Amino acid sequence: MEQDVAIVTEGLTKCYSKKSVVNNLDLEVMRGQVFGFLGPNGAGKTTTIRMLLGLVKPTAGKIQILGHNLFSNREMIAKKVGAIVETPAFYSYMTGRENLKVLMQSSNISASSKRIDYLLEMVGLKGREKEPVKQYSLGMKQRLGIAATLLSEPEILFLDEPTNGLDPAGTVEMRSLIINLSQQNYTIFLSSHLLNEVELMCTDVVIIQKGEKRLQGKMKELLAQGKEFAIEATPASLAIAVLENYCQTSITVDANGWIVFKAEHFEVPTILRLLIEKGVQIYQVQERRNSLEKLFLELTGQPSESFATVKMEVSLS
Amino acid sequence: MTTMNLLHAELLKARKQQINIFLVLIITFVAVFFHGWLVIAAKVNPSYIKDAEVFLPYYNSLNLSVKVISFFSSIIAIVFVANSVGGEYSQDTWKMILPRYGSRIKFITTKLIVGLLAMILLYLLGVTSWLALSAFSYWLLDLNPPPQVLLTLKNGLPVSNSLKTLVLEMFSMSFYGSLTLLATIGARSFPGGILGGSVSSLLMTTATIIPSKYVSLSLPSLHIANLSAQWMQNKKEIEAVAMAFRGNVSMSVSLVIVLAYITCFIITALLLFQKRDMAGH
Ligand SMILES: Nc1ncnc2c1ncn2[C@@H]1O[C@H](COP(=O)(O)OP(=O)(O)O)[C@@H](O)[C@H]1O
Ligand SMILES: [Mg+2]
Repeated sequence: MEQDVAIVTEGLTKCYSKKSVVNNLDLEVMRGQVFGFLGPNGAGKTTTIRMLLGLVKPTAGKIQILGHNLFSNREMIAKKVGAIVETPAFYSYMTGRENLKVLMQSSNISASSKRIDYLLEMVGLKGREKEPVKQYSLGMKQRLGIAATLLSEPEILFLDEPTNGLDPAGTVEMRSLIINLSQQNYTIFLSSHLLNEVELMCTDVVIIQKGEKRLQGKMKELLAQGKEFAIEATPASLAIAVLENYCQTSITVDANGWIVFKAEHFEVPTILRLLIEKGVQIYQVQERRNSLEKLFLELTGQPSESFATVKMEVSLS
Repeated sequence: MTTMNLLHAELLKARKQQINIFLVLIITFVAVFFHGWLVIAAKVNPSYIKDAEVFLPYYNSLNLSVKVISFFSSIIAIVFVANSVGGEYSQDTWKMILPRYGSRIKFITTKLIVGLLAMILLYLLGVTSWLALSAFSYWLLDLNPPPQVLLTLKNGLPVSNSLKTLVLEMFSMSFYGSLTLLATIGARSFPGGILGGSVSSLLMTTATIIPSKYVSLSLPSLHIANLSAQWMQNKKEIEAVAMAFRGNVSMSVSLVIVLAYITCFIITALLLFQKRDMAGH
């Protein structure tokens, strides 16, 4: 059992001038999981990651990585962990390739051109590796960051808001890179303030708010609770009556006139047939995949406006 | 050796940093300017041939190059260390590099070793290129080897003097380097390190005038001057230092005091670095 656990924290706490930023946080991440660490800006995600990397000392609490105490096995753990913390930081006066070389040697591994070439290829920077990093776009730096995390062939990757600040194309590239990695048996600790991002990529999730854990679970199970669909239909009143009768719950209408109801995936054809038989005209059907946001709302009793959910993306995905 | 990797990484960084390239360029510029000026002056006005005959033979050239580089040495040490450590703060690269090391102390130690190596390399590079330029100018001006060459070689004085100066300079650079290390880690920035390093060296120089035996005895810069004066057996300097100290201080006492300062600076810097959070800005 012990060997299957990648990261464990117990009562992890960090205070800055008496104010707690991370409070009594218990986490358990199993090997091979893509673990979503979700929380609004300022929730304490980066501080937690900095503690897990030994950059920031916890005020209290224990950290175990791959079964070893972080504080007494720093050097041993260092090689098994790769990380991007907040915005990517590189030596801007060196080329992408030189940066990878320096970082690889800093892990106390001989620089291997083969490994560096392979990683440059993988993150799509082949051909640009001889340019100084100061000429790179944020997206390129972020991808170089991913290559850097993989230099020492680690087991755990910490990715702190890897799509933050990227344009839509960069975001898509970065996400497909991460999904690619998640299929290669890395344990990925992904922090994000984007609900749909975590929903898209993670197998497990913890939601934190103001430094405290609010929710934890398997993504599938969490999403299975209260899946929602929306239809564009006329006449609306008839549709709502039919749906209320079928679902036995109240039906809502969103700002754009979509009628939203809760149902299991397999029930949808039945519901649609029923609506049509009763004379409702259906123009469009959508699966509403923002259920994490709903969960968060139900959990905290407050709207998660601080979560920047990109509605467009949600409905597209 | 596994630590060779760490050294390689730091050396590559040092080599690519513009400010270090600038330091090398300054020394190169002084060397080229000096020799260029001497050759042109001697070609235009033969009365300068005498100067060329004094400055260009290798033993004088060696002495002069060591003196010139030594003139910049404390600035070089301060700028190099402040940049090497402070540069990691300004671009927040600590967060990339420290999780790889595991041990913070190992990291700073590597930086210090590379700093010392870089200083030695800079001296070697500066001195050899200066000597090469002198030989080339010598050839350009078609001078005859003066008889003193053999004389001084036999006595062996100038060369050993230059070597002594080199050792003394390395020692004083270690002092300024460790002082700057502490300042940089204390201020967590490159400008802070430069400012701290240079202001405290300036303070030490001005404090020499404070008429108190205890103040002057506690000044590391005076002890460095004392070591230099006594080892080089420079009578004038020995007297000047003795006057500042209000008495004679032996070389070993000065050595121990400066070493104690260096050790204190480095240990305090390491403890501070070890203890502090790397929480970004
Ligand atoms: N070095 C620090 N000193 C004081 N407060 C800090 C420091 N670092 C972070 N904080 C505070 O801790 C809180 C959590 O920050 P952070 O971990 O960066 O959140 P997140 O990554 O979830 O956006 C914020 O309110 C931030 O202002
Ligand atoms: Mg953050």
